[in-house]
Amino acid sequence: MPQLALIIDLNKCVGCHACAVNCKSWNTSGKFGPLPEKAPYGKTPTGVWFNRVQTWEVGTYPDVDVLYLPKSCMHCAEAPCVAVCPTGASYKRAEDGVVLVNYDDCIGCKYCSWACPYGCREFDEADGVMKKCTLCVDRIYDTRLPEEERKPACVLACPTQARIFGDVLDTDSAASHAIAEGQGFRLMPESGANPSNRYLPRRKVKVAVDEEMITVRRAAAVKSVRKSVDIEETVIEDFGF
Amino acid sequence: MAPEFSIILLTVFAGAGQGLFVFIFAADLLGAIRGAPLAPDTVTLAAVMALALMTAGLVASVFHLSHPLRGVKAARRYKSSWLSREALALPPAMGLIALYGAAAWLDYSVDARLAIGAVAAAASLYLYLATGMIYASVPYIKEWNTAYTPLSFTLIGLAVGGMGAVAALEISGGGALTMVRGVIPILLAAALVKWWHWRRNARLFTPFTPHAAIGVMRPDARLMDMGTTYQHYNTTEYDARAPAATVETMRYIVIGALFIGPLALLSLDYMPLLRGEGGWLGAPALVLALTGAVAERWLFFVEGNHAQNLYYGTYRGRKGPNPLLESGKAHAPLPPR
Repeated sequence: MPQLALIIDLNKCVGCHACAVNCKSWNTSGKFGPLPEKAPYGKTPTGVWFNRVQTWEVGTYPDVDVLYLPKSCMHCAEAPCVAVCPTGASYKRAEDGVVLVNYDDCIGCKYCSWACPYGCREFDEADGVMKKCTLCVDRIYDTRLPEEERKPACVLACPTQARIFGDVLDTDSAASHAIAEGQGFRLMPESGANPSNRYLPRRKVKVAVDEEMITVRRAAAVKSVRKSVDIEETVIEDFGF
Repeated sequence: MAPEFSIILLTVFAGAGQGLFVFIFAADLLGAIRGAPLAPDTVTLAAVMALALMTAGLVASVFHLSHPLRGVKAARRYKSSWLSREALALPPAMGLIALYGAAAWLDYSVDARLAIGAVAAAASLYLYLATGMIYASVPYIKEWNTAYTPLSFTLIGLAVGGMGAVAALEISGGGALTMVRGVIPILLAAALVKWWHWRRNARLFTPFTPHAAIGVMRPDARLMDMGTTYQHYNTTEYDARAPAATVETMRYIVIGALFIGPLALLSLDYMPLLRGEGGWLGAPALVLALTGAVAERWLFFVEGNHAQNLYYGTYRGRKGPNPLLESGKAHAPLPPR
């Protein structure tokens, strides 16, 4: 039984919110109807988003680090939101492990959102139903799309390729390799929900740079700046090249 | 958690209706055993009052649902969802209480009436369990995740309903002395359980930590930006934002209006009832207790602290000591650098 999920590399995420914006863009214009916004251009903009990127400060000055945390539905193996839904509108697909909401059955009681430890369900006031990340189920199986585009919108948008989409139970998938090699972990493991999405932790990365390369790059940079802007070389030195 | 008045009114009014019926049925049954069941007029009035309270709760709950017409589908997941079980038990309970009242009104045999009443009483008691377990079964709100939740829902519902039963007996001219004697211990038990519940929550140890929530195994992590310009569902639904002073004031209102006030009214009622005169303080006690129960349910919601608040900087944090550290079963944390 496969389990599709997202693997997010916290070392690569630069907190640009492109995944969240593309998620909103695709899902508000997709097949399941719009995700409403309230006062989007006013002073109190609010609305339904499936994916949100948070910024955390870790450590104490001067040993301090900034962590960007994109958070969307974890498609938990033991999804607590599914068990509590009184109507069966919330369900977990057997064929790929995606947790979905049948908007035609949802009565809007919000009980599933209480049972979610991650706060990944958002209530749509306009439709009166609970909504959540669908893992772009309307993209990933669409054979009219080119094969490389059959991925969730957030994955396609990420400029640093920090997001990997795949089957986390298939030991041969790129997702499983990324989890194994990058020491993928789960958020809030004490929730007991067994979330499928994993995060690859922040780690020190060593980049090999030799002195000669710096000299070559510097010369090229000075040359290109001098060519485009007619200014003194002393000014260019002040830029810090 | 944000208090939602439709749910507060549903749990308070339906609970009171169930309690009223359970007390009247108990009085009816015990009277029948001694050869003196309740007068049909009293039973009819009590059933109508119980149904009125439960209908009021049901009407309030409709305002909670965005799609009440789909409510029929809510009985589907009875195998795993307590909400589904509540939805499944409420209509039969109300129907049976209506049948019980109708049997008395049409002067059917007392045995048939009591048989219907017994099933209705079982359904009513099960309904308390189902309602309480909706909240108690959420593992991410530790203030609710305890046996005190269904227990206090049951006892408060029974106590408030009991005052309704006293009122029904007084209005229809039946002797309410035995009923007052039965309601007072339940009211005291409800107060005791509520006190234990509050005491437990004040000292509660919650296992959820911000650093485990974001997977950074050091305690000095701080939320800088929750990822949105303004509030949204996850910051408004899970956080009541009630000032601490309001919460403490509400606690005194609960103590006064739900426990001490009705207890005083029932005690004042006791002497005239003992002298064989008709009392009239059951109805005021019911109204006061209903107000107090609404305040109690508001406080219950506001005290609920959901684990997802860790992601939005609104988690109220640990209140009590770590039981593992206290018992010496875990290593002490390292001192800060």
